[in-house]
Amino acid sequence: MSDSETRETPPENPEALFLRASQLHAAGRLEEAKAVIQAMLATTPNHAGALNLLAIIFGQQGDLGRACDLVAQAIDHDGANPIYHRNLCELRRQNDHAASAMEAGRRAVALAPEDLVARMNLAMAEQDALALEAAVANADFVLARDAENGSAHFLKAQVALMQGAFAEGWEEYRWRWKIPGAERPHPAGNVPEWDGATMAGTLLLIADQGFGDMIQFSRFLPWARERCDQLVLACPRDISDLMRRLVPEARVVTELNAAKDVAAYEVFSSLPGLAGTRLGSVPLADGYLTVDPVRQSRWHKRLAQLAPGPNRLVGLVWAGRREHRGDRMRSMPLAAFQPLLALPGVTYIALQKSEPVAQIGRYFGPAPLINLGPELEDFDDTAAVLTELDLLVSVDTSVVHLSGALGRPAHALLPFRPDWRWLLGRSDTPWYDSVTLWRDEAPRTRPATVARLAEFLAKTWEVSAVA
Amino acid sequence: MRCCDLPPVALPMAEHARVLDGVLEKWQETHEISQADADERPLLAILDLASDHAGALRALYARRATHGLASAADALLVRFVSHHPNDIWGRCELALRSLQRGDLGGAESQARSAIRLAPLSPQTHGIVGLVLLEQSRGHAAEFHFRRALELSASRDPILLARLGTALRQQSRLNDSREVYAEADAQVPGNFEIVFGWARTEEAAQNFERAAELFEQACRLAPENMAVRISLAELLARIGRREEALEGLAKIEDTSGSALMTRGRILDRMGRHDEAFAAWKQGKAQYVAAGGQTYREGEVAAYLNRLRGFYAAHRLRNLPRAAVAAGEPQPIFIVGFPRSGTTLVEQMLCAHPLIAGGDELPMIHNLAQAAPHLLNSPLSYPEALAELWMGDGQEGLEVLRDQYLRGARHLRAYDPSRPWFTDKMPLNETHLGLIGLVFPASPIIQLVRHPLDVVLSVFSNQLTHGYHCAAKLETAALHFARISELVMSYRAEMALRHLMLRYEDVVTEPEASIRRVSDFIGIDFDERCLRFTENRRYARTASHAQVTEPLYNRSAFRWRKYREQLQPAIQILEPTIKRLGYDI
Repeated sequence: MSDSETRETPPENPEALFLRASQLHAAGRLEEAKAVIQAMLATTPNHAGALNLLAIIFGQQGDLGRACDLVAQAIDHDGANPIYHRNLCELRRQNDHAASAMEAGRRAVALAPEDLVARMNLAMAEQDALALEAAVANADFVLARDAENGSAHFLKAQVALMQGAFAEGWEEYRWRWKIPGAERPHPAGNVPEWDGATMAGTLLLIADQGFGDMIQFSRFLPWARERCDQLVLACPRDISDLMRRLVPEARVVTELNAAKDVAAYEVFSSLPGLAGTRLGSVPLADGYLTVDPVRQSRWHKRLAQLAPGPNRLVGLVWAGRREHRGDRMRSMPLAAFQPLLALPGVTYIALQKSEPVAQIGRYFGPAPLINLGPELEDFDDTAAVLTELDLLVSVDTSVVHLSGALGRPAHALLPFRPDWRWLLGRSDTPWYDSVTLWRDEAPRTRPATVARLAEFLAKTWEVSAVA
Repeated sequence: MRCCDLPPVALPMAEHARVLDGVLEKWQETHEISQADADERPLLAILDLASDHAGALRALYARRATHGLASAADALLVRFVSHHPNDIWGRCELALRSLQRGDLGGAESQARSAIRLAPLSPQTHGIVGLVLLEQSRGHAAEFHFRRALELSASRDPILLARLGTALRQQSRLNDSREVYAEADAQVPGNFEIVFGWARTEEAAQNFERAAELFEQACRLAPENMAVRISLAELLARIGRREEALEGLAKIEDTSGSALMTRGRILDRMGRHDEAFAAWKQGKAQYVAAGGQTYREGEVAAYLNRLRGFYAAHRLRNLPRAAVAAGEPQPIFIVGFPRSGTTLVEQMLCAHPLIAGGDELPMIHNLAQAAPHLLNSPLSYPEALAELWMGDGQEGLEVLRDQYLRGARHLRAYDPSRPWFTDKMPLNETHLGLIGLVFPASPIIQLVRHPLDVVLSVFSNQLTHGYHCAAKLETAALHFARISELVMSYRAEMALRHLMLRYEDVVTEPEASIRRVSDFIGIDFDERCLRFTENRRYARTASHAQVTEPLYNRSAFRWRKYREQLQPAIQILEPTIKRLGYDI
């Protein structure tokens, strides 16, 4: 027997493995970190720190259910550690379980009352559960100890705006750039921010945040145009033609550095605050965007080919960008539209883009569903199609904003905790006259919301659902 | 080398040929073609000296054909035609042999050449008619049979019988019956006439008369298996199942056909284990007899190429054909064989605005012909890349017009009706091509429980789907693959597409047809629900069923065969769930 065969490699010390996994995780090498942790847990399955780290990794990889289970196991083995409770709070919140997230958050705060991260996690869970007073109280607790905490200010902004307190909301909304990781777009050089007053020279306005925000806030562009000599708009190519038609005298660029010699700049999302917008003074709610007539003609012909019958044409969007922070709450599978898809006399026109389009291949419902997504090049195409439809049904995506901005009828499906711009408790919106809101009455009750909308449409159209 | 693959050599001088003619004449005087031990050396010697010698080639061909040496006979005949392209006999003979082999394209090419050589020959018209009959192109076949009768200035009973078939294919059953009666009056007791007549009576649902004629045909040709199987099927259809089984038991068949029929009858009698065993044995016989089987790798590669080509980023840059003005437009009824396409077609064809086109081969043919039509060095689907070229922009209109020309030739449409059906099963393999060439045409896709479909496919002899029906497992595999392909087409491109469940059609026919009518954009017509009154003859395996009122005994029939279907269930489980069915 050789020497090498008689010697066995001693098992590595669990703490050394844990340290190595933590270093790999900090370096962003998640899969390697996961492998080390899993190897470690094979011999020391009750190591709370390892369970917690593994939970964080799964959470980062999007497997939130598993992440919650793991961190709950960590708590089983070391329930006195407030970090685990605050992590559980945030993971459950991300997994759209706000009520149980609040429970975990309260335990974390009880164990570590001065832990500001735990406070913010709890406040965000409370915000998701629409326990808004409690959420603001916790945000205030944080601000009393850290007055420049961007997340706490932003939470207060969202709550105020959601409650229709726009004056307070816009003020707090300015803190959004202080949220860790947030970066305010700005032109090169030392260009001052615009204060909303009439000015001489060129004003640069930069389209920021998601496409929905850009479309929603673009209603203020005519107002801004009146307050400067020249207006330059920097926006993505996808909406550039819509913006050109909205403000024909503005110069539109699709590269920020193409804007030269500007006297001041601002981002689109600051415009409602600068304009002093209040609940009763939202401008252009009846629509402000227009359609390119060439595109309209092309899509009119295309839809006449694809859906010429007597059926109503209803646009459908079931998912937004996956990268959106609230996507888990707002997006839904196409299959969840079943009550709508059972309505007779309707042809659905899918305006869905990106990966969720693949769900159409697995759709076998009774209504015809025409997949237009692959043919839509930009928002000009989508706008032209929207003018051909009887209405749009969509989760909270940019297409709802586009439909509203065109003055076209739309039904928006909102999660229990909606984005601030949809306010609370109402089925209409001051931002768009033509948009009707359908809210989940409790977290994760989307099927019931879809059923209510289907029932409403069936009644409106005087039809019965196909079995 | 003498008979199969001899390279062309310099032609002999005329005087030498005359000498060789003499040798041949002498051989023919002393030998019979059919004589097994005849001395062939003089014939071979002639061909050694003159490889193109017409007489020797014909004689040697006749001997090989008579003695069942098919490939040698075929090679000799091809050689004869290549040396004597203007010889009418050669063209006609090669057309008939191609027909026997099932090479319909080859047969058509030779038959057309023959008619070009001899446009006033009744024989060439008769052969072209026969080829067209095999292609189910009854209207064009009728023309040639009528021309043959006219040119021969006679009422040849066999030509009349074939004319009867051509008329039956066009659903002109009374006309068909009349010509059969005329032929039978001339030559009472001719097998071909009686058998064809029986089929016409069956199509007309005169079952008792059809049974009498089938029985007569059986007596005329007791060794003919096809007629005895047809009789058994008819007897089963009219409820005389025991009798049908008895008849089948007497058939000595090695192709599997009789067993397949036996299985279907047992199935109707509720004897499921015996039925499945018969099908299994029938399929084994079919394969053992050299029947074609599914070429898994080849098919997978082709389907992957289709999936790869029809991708959103590529399709965005491809044009769509315009709708041909003033022409009726196709409604594509697609689905795996046995998923209810024939039923839905029969229902829709009862609508006054829709003509019944039946199973049209043109979409498949378009895919085959696309490289040629688009002037591409690539094969389909890659040949569609020509559409990106400056001079290829109208390529899709070329394909569209080719399709419509084919439909016109097949009399698939009626100019007075704005729509016609194309219900070729498995046309969903080409959903992408349909979407490009006919973007405004409704596509109605029949979906049925995959296990019911696979069971039904397995219980029939079908060639659709690259012969996947040869085995249960390959039928299941092809179903799963096509389902994946359809999923990809639907995710990647805009199609005017409606899913229709067979189970809904049989349980809620009115709601289903209303949905389809709305989708097409026509008013619902109650005649669609009384489709059995429509005596249109559909040329498919499902025809006997769709001439009966709607029944749902076939829905979820697979449950009776759950054990036997285990190999298919393993393959199809994800597909079944995706389609929304249970196991």
